[in-house]
Amino acid sequence: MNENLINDLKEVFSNVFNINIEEINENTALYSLPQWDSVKHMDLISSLEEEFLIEFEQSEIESMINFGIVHATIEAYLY
Amino acid sequence: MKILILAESASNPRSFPVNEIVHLEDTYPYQLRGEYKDAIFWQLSFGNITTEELCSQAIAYLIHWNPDIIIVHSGLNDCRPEPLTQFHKDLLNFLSFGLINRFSIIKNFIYHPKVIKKRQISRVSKEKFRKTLKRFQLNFSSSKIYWLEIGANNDYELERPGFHQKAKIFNEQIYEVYKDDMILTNDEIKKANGFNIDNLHWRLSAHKVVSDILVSRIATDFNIRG
Repeated sequence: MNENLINDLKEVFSNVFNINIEEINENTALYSLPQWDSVKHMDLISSLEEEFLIEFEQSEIESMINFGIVHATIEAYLY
Repeated sequence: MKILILAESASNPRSFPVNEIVHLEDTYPYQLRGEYKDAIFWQLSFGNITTEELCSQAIAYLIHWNPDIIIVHSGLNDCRPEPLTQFHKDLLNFLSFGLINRFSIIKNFIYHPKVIKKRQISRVSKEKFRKTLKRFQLNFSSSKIYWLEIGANNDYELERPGFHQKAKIFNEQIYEVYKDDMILTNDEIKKANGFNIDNLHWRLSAHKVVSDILVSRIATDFNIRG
């Protein structure tokens, strides 16, 4: 587990969904957070791409439905 | 025990060519079901799918299922040398009102081995393929993942010049990420004369060989017999 990456990700989530960092964990998921709907999902994707200077594949965008998957996906890019 | 199989077209039954029909019961995923009758199986198999597309389906829908074993049979569609990028194929098809797909003379020109030999375009870069391998491993970190070697018969080189060199490079990526959990199959399939007339898809002998290799490996790693 890369703690720095987790913290950076939590910051992006916090900014996009306008919630406290403490509320974000591995189980934070699409639709479990009321704010995380399809529109906010695209906000999240563009924020992540900007933050980590990467460009996701379409299939990755569709599969990133919780914090854990987002974390693993970004980690794979940085691997 | 929960077993997930993710695979491309070679894992599927085939009704063609007519003298090389592979029935569902002959396929290695079905044979594995027969070996492990108490296990719960789930399988996603699609023709012409890239590894990224296949793995994303599993990540999006099956991550909470937590399979004990995942068998992945994918990579050939990523590395196979193509004459054009997917974008250019789609564009050409659109601009020609679909005529390319309807008239094999044009298609045969585009897919001529000389053109492929010169162009050497893969649908997926080595780097992106490696990233997908790692992403899948990170997402299913509590599962035992077996990744089958990418392979085809020697004569496939005549149709797709450069294939074996590409497959070697992509297999190296699999090995670097999955190490000994990469399952080598190609030599055994060739010995069993397991590639069908297209030099790519599998006869029943290949399915039997791969099923035996997997059963033996699972027996070693999990100390269970089929």
